[in-house]
Amino acid sequence: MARTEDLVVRELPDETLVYDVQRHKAHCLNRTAALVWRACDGHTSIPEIAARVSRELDLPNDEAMVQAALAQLGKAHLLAQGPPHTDRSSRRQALGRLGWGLAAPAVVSIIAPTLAEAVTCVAKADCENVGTCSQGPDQCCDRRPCCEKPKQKCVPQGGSAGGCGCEN
Amino acid sequence: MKTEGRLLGATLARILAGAWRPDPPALSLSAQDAAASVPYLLRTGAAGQAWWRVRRSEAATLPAAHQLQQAFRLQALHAAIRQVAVAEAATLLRRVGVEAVLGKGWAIARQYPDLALRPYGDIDLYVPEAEHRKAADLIENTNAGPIDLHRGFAELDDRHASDLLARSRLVELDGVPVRIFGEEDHLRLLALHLLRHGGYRPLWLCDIAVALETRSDRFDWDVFLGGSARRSRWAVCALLLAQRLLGASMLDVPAEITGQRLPRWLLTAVLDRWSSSSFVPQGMRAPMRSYVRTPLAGLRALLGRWPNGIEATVGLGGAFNDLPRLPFQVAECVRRAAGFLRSVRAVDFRGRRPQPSV
Repeated sequence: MARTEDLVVRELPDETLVYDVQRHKAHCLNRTAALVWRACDGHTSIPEIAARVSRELDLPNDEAMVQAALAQLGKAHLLAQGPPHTDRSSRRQALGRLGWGLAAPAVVSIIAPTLAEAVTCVAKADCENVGTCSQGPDQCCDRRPCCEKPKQKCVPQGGSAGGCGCEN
Repeated sequence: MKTEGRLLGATLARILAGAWRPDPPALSLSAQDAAASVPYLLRTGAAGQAWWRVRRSEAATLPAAHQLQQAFRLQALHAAIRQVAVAEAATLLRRVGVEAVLGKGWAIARQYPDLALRPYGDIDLYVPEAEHRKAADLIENTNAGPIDLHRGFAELDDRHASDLLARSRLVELDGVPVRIFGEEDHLRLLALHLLRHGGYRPLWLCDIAVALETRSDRFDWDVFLGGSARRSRWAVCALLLAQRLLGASMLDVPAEITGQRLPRWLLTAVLDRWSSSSFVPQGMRAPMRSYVRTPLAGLRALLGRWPNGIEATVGLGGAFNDLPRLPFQVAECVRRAAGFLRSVRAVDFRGRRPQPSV
């Protein structure tokens, strides 16, 4: 079943973006993965989802594709429960199907370096893990709000340590 | 070095030209230019706009463009999250009878074709001085997001608060009425804010361009030009910068504005600043004493504090003319150093740190 709590979802023309508020992770779902995810309502069976995907994307009816999507969605923690159990042979079969091309389900994490104000927040531990920076703290601390305390930002620490920390 | 830097600045201007429009003009971009400009675009929040321009061109397949796309995606999510916080902040203050005016941030993002094109960090709320204490106490005692609460109206303090409030407008955000500045006041605020910070973020110049091009038929240029004549001249120069660097349309803008001339040094000052990959703006810098163990980095940080001609002139309230800027820059350094010394004297060395102001 698809998770709905603590997620921010934004639909773009060709993909669906999901931000996990609990884990502070952003994911990008292509159309196939998004269709499968939306169909996970706790009632619809895998064959029914496969039929829906086939109909909407004009693809052959393929349950293995749904299984592959569910595996990726589960790994990204976008399902309320883990994906339904599949035996190893069917997973191998799913992974082995290269013929899906662009229709292959894809759930990818969104990571962009040095985004000053584009990312929602930084986890306190990640902020502090920058450690002492040889370039000086001006260049190290990203100044995003800290996820645990949004009023605080990841800023250079005073004193001679030269690291970053969450402060007002 | 200078010429090289300005080339990067010019490349950034070329990438962002028209990027605020629903269908921006096609862009051809070499892999070399993309690689050189992407770090700066990412750092200054303009990566989403760059993606908006390259997404339908051949450059979209460049490895550097992938980073722009990722930034656009993150900014799209960020916009969805932040606008909830904006609505909450407006509701929160209204509950105690404070009608704050939202400036910059979402107030300008809403004029872009997609909110993802205009990321913002703090929520800038402006309240009359008399209501500041009440608003500040409320924000302090709640779990509101990062709100930058301004006492008074910052760069617009040459105008009467009552006039600003009378011209302000209520717009809907997820069903919540949010008060924003009148469009003339907002354009002036955007222009003066850009200059106060030395014009370092290309995104802020795009803001001016989008505000110019999406202004309503009722836009009153006399209101825009009202208040301090010197500040009005600064604001006009910011509009001319948006035209010259980004191709912002000045269609139907009065001749008393389009007929003005930019000071000779202004364009190069902006391009130089855009070229500086290591520039950190005032207010976001580490205290100088945090460099004790990294003297080389400390020297770089000291040099990075040298104000450009724009922020020096605006900081000192000087005129935008063709006279050399060096005297302003030196005087601004002296002014800041004096402020720094005052803050050091005021420090309680038993635990508090000096404010990172110089």
